Amino acid sequence: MSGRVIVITSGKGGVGKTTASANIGVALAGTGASVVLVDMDIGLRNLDILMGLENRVVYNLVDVIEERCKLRQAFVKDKRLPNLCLLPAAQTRDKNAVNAEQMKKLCGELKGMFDFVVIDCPAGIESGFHNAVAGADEAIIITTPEMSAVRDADRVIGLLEARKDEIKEQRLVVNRLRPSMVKTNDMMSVDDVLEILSVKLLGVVPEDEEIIVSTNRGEPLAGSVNERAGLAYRNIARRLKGEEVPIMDLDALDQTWFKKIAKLFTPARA
Amino acid sequence: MSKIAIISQPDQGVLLDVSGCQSLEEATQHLTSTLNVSSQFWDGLTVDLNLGTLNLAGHEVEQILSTASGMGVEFDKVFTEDEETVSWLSQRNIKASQGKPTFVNEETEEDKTIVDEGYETDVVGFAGPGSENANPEDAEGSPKAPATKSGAKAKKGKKSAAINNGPQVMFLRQTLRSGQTVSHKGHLVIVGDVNPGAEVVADGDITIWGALRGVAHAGVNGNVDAQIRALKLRPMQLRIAHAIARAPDRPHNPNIGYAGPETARIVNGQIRIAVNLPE
Amino acid sequence: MQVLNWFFRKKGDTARTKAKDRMRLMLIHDRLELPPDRLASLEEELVAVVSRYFEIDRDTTRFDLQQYERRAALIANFPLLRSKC
Repeated sequence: MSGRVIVITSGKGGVGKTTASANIGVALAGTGASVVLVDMDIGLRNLDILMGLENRVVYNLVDVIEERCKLRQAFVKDKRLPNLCLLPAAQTRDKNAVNAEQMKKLCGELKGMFDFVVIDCPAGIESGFHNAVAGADEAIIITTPEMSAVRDADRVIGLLEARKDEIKEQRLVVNRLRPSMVKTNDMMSVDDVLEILSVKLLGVVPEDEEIIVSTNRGEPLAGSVNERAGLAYRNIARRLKGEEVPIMDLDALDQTWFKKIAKLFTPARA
Repeated sequence: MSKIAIISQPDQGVLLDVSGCQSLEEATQHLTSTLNVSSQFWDGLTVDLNLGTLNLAGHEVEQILSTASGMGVEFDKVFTEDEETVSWLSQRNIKASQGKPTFVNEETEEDKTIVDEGYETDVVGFAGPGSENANPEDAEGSPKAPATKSGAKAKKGKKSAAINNGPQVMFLRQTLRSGQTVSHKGHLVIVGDVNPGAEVVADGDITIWGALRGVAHAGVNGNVDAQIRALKLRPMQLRIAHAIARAPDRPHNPNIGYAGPETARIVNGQIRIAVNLPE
Repeated sequence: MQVLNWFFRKKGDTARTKAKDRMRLMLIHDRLELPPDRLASLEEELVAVVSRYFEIDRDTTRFDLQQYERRAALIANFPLLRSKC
């Protein structure tokens, strides 16, 4: 088996990178693929909390690298999906505990064991970033439609373009979009962001309060049927697997009965 | 095992051992990360440094010393195998000693094997994909596996008892926050909380005068008699020798009243928690 | 209130278009690692060179950076009045 190593990165912190990693991992595993989520945010580990696995972590990535345990021992199996597991970060070490060479070797091993290796990259563009992307074949860039996040995403895209030989594909996920604000011209639209960044779009995830609820539960949304952010992540997983899935019509999702009536009295968009 | 070791010495404070490092860069890097992780820990401690066989020029030694002093640590004494370093240090009135610190000599090698073997043991409930998923009972400490493991470890237990003839107790008055870790060859007493993401490790018992919310590992060298006690025992995970218990997946019910101080110990190969009663 | 805004707000003056315009300019400078005053001094020099050959209309001179895909392009437009030769 030779799986695909996908790094999830953003440059800016707080745009929902770790949430996206957890949800993309769950959604991919939901399609039947075997998936390992690798937390590269060494020293600030969070992915285990989002997955609700924080109390099951015994060994971590650094233990594997420093050969204190075997690779398989460090995997923490997901509570619901048998084909999904987590390789947690060390909380008590720093970003330099794993170097680029070691990461490449690790990714090579993981590729042989899973269909998808999903790497959650730390924020920033320092050594932690370079180590996290070292073994990747593809990248998913997460941004929100805010200027600061888009600027940082652009920087990351530039850095990844310099690694064209290794990272064959870069695609963008626009997170936390508020369709109602785009409509009133108070926020940049997905098209605006794409036009500025000139990069392929992988998916759009609407702002959804259920994300917070699911984080508190330790159960990523992509696993639940009804939530619209969950649907967005499942669509992303299908696109990653090569399916043609249209970007969902967020306007339609945003229309409550009240807004539908209000729309009757407002002129159509120019 | 590790590129840097923190070793508590009999009546002599703490020794930072970087002799496992291959280069200046490595040593500085490990030193920085160690000193960084728990800065308050070093306050008021006598700290020695062991450079081992590292062959360093004067300015390189200076770089290490200034790295440490930049983080508030002045070394009391420096051990090195390198003659030049000794003379460089003594010219600057820094206490230097050629050779190994006696305390390290007898222990590091032995310690290595114990730790390595410990980590090779399969941990119940944490297998790779394709194998059986862990059920909650397993993770609470399966009676089969840990029992045999601890049997095999009995011999090792004696060795750690010998080590315990040295300095027995480390006493820390501070709250450990996420990312901080304290490990000690002997018993460990902490006055303060251990927050989620922090880790305390000891050869002997761990006693926390505060809330334990992170990870505690007592009897790390296989001592099945080690205990973990805390005023408020709400750990993410408890480990004693080779047994592991984890917090239930259900969030703690805040309506259940505070039961008082509790103690965790191994009973029949499993970790059991009891409200604290005099022994 | 939103409905009223919708009617009265000038197109091109919304938070969305503001963000987009600022963003575009900022990224061009970022990608070229271009300090803000460099462009102005380039313009001065180019004008000086062209002025040796032609008389140009300084009022309608256009000089700016535009984005094509992830590349930037320098667009200079010097309307020529007459040759100096």
